[in-house]
Amino acid sequence: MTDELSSRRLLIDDDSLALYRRSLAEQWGDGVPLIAPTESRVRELLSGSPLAADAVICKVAPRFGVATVEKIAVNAAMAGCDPAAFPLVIAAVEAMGAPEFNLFGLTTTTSSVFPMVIVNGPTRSRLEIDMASGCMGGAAGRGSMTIGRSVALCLRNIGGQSIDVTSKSVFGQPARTGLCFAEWEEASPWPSLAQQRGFSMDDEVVTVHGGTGTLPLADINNDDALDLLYLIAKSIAYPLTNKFLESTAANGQTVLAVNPAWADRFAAVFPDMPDLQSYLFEHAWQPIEVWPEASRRVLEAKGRVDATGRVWLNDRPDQIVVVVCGGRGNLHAVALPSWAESELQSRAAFRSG
Amino acid sequence: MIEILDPTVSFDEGDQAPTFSLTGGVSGKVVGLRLDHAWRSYHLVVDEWQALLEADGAKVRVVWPGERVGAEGERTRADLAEWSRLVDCGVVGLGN
Repeated sequence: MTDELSSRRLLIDDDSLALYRRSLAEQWGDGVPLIAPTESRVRELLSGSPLAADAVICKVAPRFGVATVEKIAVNAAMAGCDPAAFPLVIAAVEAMGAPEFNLFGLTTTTSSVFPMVIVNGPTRSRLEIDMASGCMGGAAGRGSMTIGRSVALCLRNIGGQSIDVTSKSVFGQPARTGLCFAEWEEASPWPSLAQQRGFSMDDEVVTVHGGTGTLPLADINNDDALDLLYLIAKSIAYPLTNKFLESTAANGQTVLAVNPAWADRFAAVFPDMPDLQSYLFEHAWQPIEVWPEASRRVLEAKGRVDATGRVWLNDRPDQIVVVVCGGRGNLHAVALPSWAESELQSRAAFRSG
Repeated sequence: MIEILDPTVSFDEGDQAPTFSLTGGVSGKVVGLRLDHAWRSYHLVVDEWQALLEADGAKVRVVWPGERVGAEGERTRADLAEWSRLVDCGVVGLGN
């Protein structure tokens, strides 16, 4: 442990535009204006974590830079992260370092996939992590906007992820400047995502998901819970999802964000989450006839077609991960489709004192 | 002027194998081909590459990695580590 911060010092004009220009010129920015990561700001962030500045959290793919707490803090400072939210950023970086998250593949692929951050626990509101209307963009809570961005900047500056250099992503996606939202636990009829994954309600938990985008789902024609869930299951099993590119259905999760009104409606039929997941699983498939002949041959060769001609999205019900969030405007859900080569990871955050 | 902290890190190039120099050719070398079931282009080129390399005197060691995560993930990582140990140089991607 050391009190000294080891990062190289850079001198810039005391002008926000000068910082912005330099970040663009030296390619350590994300194209959006930044907060100057001064030593005092970085130290303020470090005070929120019980870990020493030189503690190593993990190596970050694709170039396997060493993620010390200090270096994470410098990037979080640039993102405007609240010191109280900093432990969540550390937890997210730690979660991404798990081998089963497959961060190297995720950061280098041609896919648009990017780590999406879901937060559970008692500090969600205080940290302004959006969970109600506009929680996936537009609500503008400081926690949501800066935690996700901190993680994205860490991938860029510690991991070395750079479009057309290490990343071959053809399109990318808006979430590549950061996507973070919370589960609206108080509005959920089921145990929280964190509880489902073995944590307590008092834990501050970050879950990272390799999501290929936000897939909007809407219905105004039908109020029946089973009908809606059937349609949701068919919609998330869309023919060109990455899940159908792999030789197994066993890997990856689809996160399904359900608004509180729909959650209540679904819970009236399925008060237990595993039963809801089983129902979705049972309908998340497509008949092989959906695909043209050339595609059918490949799916058959990969062993993805069962004896009845069905191509299943998943091998298990727990691969559909349901979280409750969004406004009370009803009618809508959002799926965060899986990249299929990355497993959801959750980590608890730890605070000073 | 203000002083800020550098957000970037120095990448540990020591974790990476040195680029294989083709000086002297591949004769007598073990050349690895790391392929991928997901990319049909590998299926198109692997036989050609293998024949050309063998014609130049190389011994070719092909590996088809399995799934990166899940039940197969650990085995895949072990297979790739072993393959890396056994080859003198390797083709690990198509640069697509």
